[in-house]
Amino acid sequence: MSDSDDLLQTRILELLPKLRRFARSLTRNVHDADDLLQSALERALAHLDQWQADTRLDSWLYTIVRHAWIDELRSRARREHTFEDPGQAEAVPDRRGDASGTLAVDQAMACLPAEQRVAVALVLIEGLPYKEAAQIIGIPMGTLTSRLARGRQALQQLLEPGDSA
Amino acid sequence: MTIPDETLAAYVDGELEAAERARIEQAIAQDALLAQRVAQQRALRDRLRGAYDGVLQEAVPQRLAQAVKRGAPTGPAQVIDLASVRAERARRGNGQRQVKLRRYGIAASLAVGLMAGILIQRLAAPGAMTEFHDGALLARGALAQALDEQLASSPLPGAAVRVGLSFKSRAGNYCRTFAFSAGRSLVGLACRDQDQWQLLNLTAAEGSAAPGTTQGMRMATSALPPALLQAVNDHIIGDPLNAAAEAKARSAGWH
Repeated sequence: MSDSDDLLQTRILELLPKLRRFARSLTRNVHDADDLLQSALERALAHLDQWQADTRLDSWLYTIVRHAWIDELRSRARREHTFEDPGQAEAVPDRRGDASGTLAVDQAMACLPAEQRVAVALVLIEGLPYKEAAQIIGIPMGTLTSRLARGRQALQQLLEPGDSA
Repeated sequence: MTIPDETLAAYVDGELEAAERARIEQAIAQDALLAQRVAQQRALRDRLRGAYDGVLQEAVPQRLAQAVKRGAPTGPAQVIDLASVRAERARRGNGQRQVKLRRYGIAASLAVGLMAGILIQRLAAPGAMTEFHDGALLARGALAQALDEQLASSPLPGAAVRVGLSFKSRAGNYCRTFAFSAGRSLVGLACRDQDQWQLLNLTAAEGSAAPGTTQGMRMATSALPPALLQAVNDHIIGDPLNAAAEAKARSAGWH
């Protein structure tokens, strides 16, 4: 392994807290999130040569985490014999909230269809520019902004049911 | 002025060009309702961020850092997941694996010997837990007793040594992982050699004592230090013993 790969590993180590946050916002459960990230890291390390030095390392890793998550949703869907497209929806949203019906943020996130959740996580939580987020997901900017809009609207309604526009 | 939600969102997300941004800001100043919509968008963004920012302060689990470091061939352990290792082994046969073992084997056994010697000297454990005999490190005292008698499925509360995973080795004998604490936490792998337990691995554990033996459960593989996991991977054949098989092996004297 060359010096540049060593440097790359150090940079990846520094990104772990952010990657964990991203994984957590996708999966909600701490252990699932770390499992997801671990398998994504294994993929990333096995394909370090595929990262292009003139692109953002964090974006490349977000892309791999997202792929690993979508794969996980697909295989879970297969296990449960559902034919739902995991890109559109995820099974078993937990809609319990407090007495007023208000959900905690993580519960509300878990109610979003997978691709809206990714868009919201990348832009609102990770703070990435639209362009970068669209590239990570592999969609045009227009698709990203409409997913964001729908995701925001749903979250607004879930988090403040009486107060939505 | 009617401003669509998406534009307001883009404003809050910092995605608008300067001119467009100025136009929105002017509109906000003149329109309380618009200002409220922007505040709502901003509050949502802050709330989401606030809900997850705590993750950044958490200590990153060791296994994640190790997944990154394992990318380097100089790392001590290459493989973590037992099932995938076995699958891989089955798929490609033993050829490549043995090459790899030769490469790591010598360094690994040296490391075990050195580490063990140093650690054991520092231990001052009540009654010696180990003894060097004919070049082999053997379990003695409370360690030997625990390996003989203890069932991972029903650990004794307060026992000095806790046994984790038991399995049949490729050589056909029984092996067991164990953990004990003596100044610092140690974990290791011992395999049955005639009527003795020979230690094949002894590793200083990170973090709290007796990893993987909490609640009497068999060790979760992710809880084992990589060096120990590597040793398990190198010796295990089939699956670890379940509680019934473990009890049966004990009553047969681990033969």
